[in-house]
Amino acid sequence: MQRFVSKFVSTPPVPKKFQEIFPKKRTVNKILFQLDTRLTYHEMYPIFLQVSQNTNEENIPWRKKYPYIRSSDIMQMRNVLITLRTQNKFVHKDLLAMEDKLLNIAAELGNNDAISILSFNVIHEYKKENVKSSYEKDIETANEFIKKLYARNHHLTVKLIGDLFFENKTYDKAEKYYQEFLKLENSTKLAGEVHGKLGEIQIKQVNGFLKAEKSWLSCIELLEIERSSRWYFLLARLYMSSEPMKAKALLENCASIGFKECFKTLGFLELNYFNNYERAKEWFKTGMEIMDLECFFGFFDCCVKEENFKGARDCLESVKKLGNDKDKKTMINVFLESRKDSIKLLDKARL
Amino acid sequence: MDSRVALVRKYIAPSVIKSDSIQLHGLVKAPLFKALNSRYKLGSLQIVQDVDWNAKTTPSDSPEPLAATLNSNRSLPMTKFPKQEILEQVKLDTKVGKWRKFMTGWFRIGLYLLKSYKTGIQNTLKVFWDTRNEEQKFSIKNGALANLVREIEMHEINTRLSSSSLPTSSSAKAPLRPLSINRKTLVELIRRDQIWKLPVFFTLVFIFEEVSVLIFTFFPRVCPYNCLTPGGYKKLSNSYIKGTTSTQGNYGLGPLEFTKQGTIKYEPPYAVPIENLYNFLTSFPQSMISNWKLYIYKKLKLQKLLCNEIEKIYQYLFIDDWLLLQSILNTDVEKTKIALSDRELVNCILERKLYHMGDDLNEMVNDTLGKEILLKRLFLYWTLRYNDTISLNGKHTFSEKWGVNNISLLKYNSELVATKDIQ
Repeated sequence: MQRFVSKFVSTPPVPKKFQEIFPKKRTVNKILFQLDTRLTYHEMYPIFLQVSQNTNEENIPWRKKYPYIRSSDIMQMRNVLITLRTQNKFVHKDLLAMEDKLLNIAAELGNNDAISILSFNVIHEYKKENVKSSYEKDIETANEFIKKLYARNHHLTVKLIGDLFFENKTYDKAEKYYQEFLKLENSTKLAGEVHGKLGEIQIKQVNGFLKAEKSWLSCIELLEIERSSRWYFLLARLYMSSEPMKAKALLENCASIGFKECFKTLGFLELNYFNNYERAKEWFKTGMEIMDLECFFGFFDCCVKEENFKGARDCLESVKKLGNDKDKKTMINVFLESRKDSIKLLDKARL
Repeated sequence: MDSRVALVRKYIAPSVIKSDSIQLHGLVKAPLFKALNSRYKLGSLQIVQDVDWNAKTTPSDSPEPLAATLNSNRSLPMTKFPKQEILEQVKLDTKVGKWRKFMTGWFRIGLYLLKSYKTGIQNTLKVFWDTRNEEQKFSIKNGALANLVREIEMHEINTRLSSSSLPTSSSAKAPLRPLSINRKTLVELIRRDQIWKLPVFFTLVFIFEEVSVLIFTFFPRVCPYNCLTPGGYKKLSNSYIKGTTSTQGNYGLGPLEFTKQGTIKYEPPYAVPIENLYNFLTSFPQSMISNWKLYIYKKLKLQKLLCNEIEKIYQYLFIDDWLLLQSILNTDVEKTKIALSDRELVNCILERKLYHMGDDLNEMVNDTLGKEILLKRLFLYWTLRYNDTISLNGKHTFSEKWGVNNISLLKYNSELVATKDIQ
């Protein structure tokens, strides 16, 4: 009934700024389908709108206004924004602020995940800005929350404790908490992330590479590529000298989402191992667009092997232009020294 | 990035491989060669003939327990056929009348052959049965070899990280931790496929009895590996080396190429033409894949699959070498003695193609000078490959020294087979 009536009541106009930053209905619906949310677009939209407009000081009675929402829905709305951010690889300031606001609202409504994240945020900030008296109270409450949540075996809290130790490089403890988390939860995306980090700890141990490999494999199985590219890359590095074929496939996955480091590696792999100059050139070209110096070297080698002397000459010139940069100078000198013969060949070809 | 991950090799194929000069005199002076040679001269490495490693009671003076996990005699053919001994025995036997000595002698030889076939068949079955559990654990055909290679690589990295001061190159140091597989299991896992030759073999023996030996001499590939006679073995080894030794491009993997500095050039498997890959794979003993499959791969130009196979062989040889070197060098010179069986030595030489066309390996191993020649070739081969690698005495990991799957190492290297200046 309320909805029916609301159609006849003139709605306030949607501010232009919000229209500009908020994605289209189609995009949001896609993400909602991916995340399998409880609420529909129409139910979420007014909340998004309201959140974008209100300031932190305002106290809005959410439950009264939208009787259908639960605190978990707010977290899902936040997830929508996060997914959008990772998919587009583009961070908008206002949307980021909206994420924070949503997190606060969820915490107010009593969502444990939100409380846990907020508590850890406080601790992180405390560490960054050193000791400040105003923070001390917050820290105390945060600690209390964390203790209580941990006592209840709250999954996310266990993971975040692990993360905290991981960042502090206390790997033994981090591993302990991660293992604890995996006992609670083993087949979710969060578990995938934990597997990835656990792998990084395990490879540091003596003879732990088998465990690390297993962890990374389950990580890339559980997580989508956008979030697990780092572990794809590490796994590829592990496979590089024993199974280049597998490494190539993994690196190609990385490249598909534009993981910067992998272009040169893929290029050199194709050039030197698989002897596929055409494909190597394509990878190097992509790498050159983001001004990766080693990709220029690779492209030069490709051109020399293909006897495309004009391409090689052009590439060499661009490398020399880049040589003004101090950091790159030593690398370029080494390159010029090692490719002496090829450069001589180029000069001969010109004659 | 974490140092251990950073040390996992970044793919940069070295255009110039840092290695000692391939010149023989350079290799002979290398610390690894000296260490191996001194082990042999001091007697801590012995080549032993005809000991049954599988027997429950071992002779009191023999140097096991290591040897029992090193050699797999039961899966390899005999090195010496006691034809003369049997004839001599018949000659001295007073019970046999003079007029039938010739007949009896040859009859006994035939009997001996049939007996050896019987034990051969039994052993093939035993190998198959005993390795059934390992087969599930290490699926050799599906990536287990790559796993083992990774294990060795990680071991090398660990050694590099843990050694605060790098080991001096003056003495050859041995690797410390054993691999998750021992050599006997590894080779038996590869040799267990011989069981599929049994049906044809058994039928032929059943029909032709003693005459079957003639068939197996002319068609040695029909025969399971451990039933081969030295004659058949020689024919087989010659046929393997025939396609490899020529320096012309279309034989084996093609000629060995060097850089301007005189070092071996890096060559990935994908740079080798399909025809050459096929040639090499068909002439590799104990191949892990059947010939008809290889033929199909060649005809359909499935280079990827052929390269996969050759990578497996590369990895198998690497692991095998590593395990052997570990056993030889990782022992106390005075306390323990390592016994390598003559059959394994012959097999090592055969697999690594360290012989000339026409060499009778079995005859050589039964002769003192011949044995030394074979050993020297093997030592030189190991020195070329592993000198200056971390797990033995140097600074580089194996893949750093040679690049990833460097096919040049599988090519026939005539310098290693040179037998001059035997010391």
